[in-house]
Amino acid sequence: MSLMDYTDQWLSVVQPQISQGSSWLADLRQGAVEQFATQGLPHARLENWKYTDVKALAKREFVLPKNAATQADALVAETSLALDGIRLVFVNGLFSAAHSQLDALPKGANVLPLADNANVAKTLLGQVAAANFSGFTALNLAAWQDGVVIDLAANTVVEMPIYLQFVSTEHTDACLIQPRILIKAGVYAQATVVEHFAGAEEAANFTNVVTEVDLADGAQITHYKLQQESVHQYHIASLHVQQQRDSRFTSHNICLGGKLARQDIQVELNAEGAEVNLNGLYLGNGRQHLDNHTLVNHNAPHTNSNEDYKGILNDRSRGVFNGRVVVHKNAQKIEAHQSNGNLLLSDKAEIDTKPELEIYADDVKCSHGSTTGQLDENALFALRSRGLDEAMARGLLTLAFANEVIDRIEIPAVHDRIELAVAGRLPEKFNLKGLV
Amino acid sequence: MAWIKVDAAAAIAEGEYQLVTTEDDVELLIANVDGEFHAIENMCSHDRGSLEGGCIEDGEIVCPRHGARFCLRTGEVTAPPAYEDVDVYPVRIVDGVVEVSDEPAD
Repeated sequence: MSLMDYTDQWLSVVQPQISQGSSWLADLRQGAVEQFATQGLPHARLENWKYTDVKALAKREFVLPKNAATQADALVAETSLALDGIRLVFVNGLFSAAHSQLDALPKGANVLPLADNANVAKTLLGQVAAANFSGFTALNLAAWQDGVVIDLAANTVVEMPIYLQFVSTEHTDACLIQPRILIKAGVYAQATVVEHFAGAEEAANFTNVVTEVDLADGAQITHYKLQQESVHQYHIASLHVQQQRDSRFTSHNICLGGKLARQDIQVELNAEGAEVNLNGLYLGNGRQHLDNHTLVNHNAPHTNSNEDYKGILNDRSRGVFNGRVVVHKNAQKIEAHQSNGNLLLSDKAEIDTKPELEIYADDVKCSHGSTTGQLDENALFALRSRGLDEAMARGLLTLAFANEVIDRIEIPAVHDRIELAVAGRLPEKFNLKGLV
Repeated sequence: MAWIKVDAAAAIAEGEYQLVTTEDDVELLIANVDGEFHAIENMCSHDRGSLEGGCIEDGEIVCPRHGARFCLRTGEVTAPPAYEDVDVYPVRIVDGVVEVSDEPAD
């Protein structure tokens, strides 16, 4: 059977959701259904999906989630980051008002759950993320159930992080969770958004999330994505960003969970002075498959992009990194730097890394590179000569490698949680959880 | 380690194979080679594509796309364009039913 053969099966699962919403939304959803029916789920013959096979996911059966917020109190509390301020909690993708807190918003900032406020998002939905980006993006647009709309008026500054907590619970029938997150920052608006995905250890749901970010002139958004779902979970995500003059977007993408996890990031630098910083870490154990694909389009002169992704792979885990930077013909005087470093902790772990740089302009400053290796024996020797045992020395060096990415995280609660999670997920023989 | 039931041994004829998927989403190809059953990961290490559709010759499976060959008993690669071995999985027969381990052989 080819992947196209599963298209009808997936459409029948989401059918009840397709007609939800007012007429403009139903039309939008119907268009996405047709797109999905044509495109189907992505197959390995597509260059972008060459290293990530979703056949096993396509075969699985999922149901749409029902409201389970009342049974999830303990799980929400257990997985929550210690962040004060604005918080929206979603249990299996559905908004839970009881767990959320929205009263700390400054004037000019609108943060709303999407399902009940879809009309507010009429001008935003599907504007940055094209439905045909992949079959998963089309499926999300066709049948998202809930999500968030963050609309910041010009010059609005939200000091507190906007914390979006997504909790996945264990079910007899695995759920298809499809959140949609829309962020619009007006002229010179500023905010920090934390997307946090976690859940029960045995949860085996499928999260298919799409985030759209639109930055006007001078706007600044810092975006954290912390993916800590269970190792039985499937997680497909795409983040689409479009930036205007002098805007700045910073992404911290930490990928620790999931049986199969894929994150796409697509950034359009559309006007002079726009800058994007992409910071990423993936850590795989067991048979996890973790894929990160990024694409930065320099569409205008004097734009900047910086990208640093690091991967640590243990056991039989597989990592994929594809970082593509395209400098278009008129985009003179741009600067683009990209690097990807990988640490393989086992002989059976594997990384497919592909930095791609396409330059059509002739006056630019660009660099890219990728490394893959094991721990440095000289550094190990240096630590051991100071009295550390081998397991501890290996653990510290591995954590130090990850910390090059983690230390760029500016929110202490997020930084500490990630450092602790990474230390706890290192191979058992050099678990450093007690030390950080 | 758990054992996954594949099919009755009699249902897989000599020179034929069947596919099963483990809980970890690894697809395995279980082949009958001269009456002996072997399980190999259903992935060509050249392009990660499936080996399904390939024929069995001299105890080896031939990739249907580019002709790479893998020993069904050991997983060893024996012909380019693949250069890396693939995992093999222990197989046993219980009451006439072929069962395959969900963990690869060491």
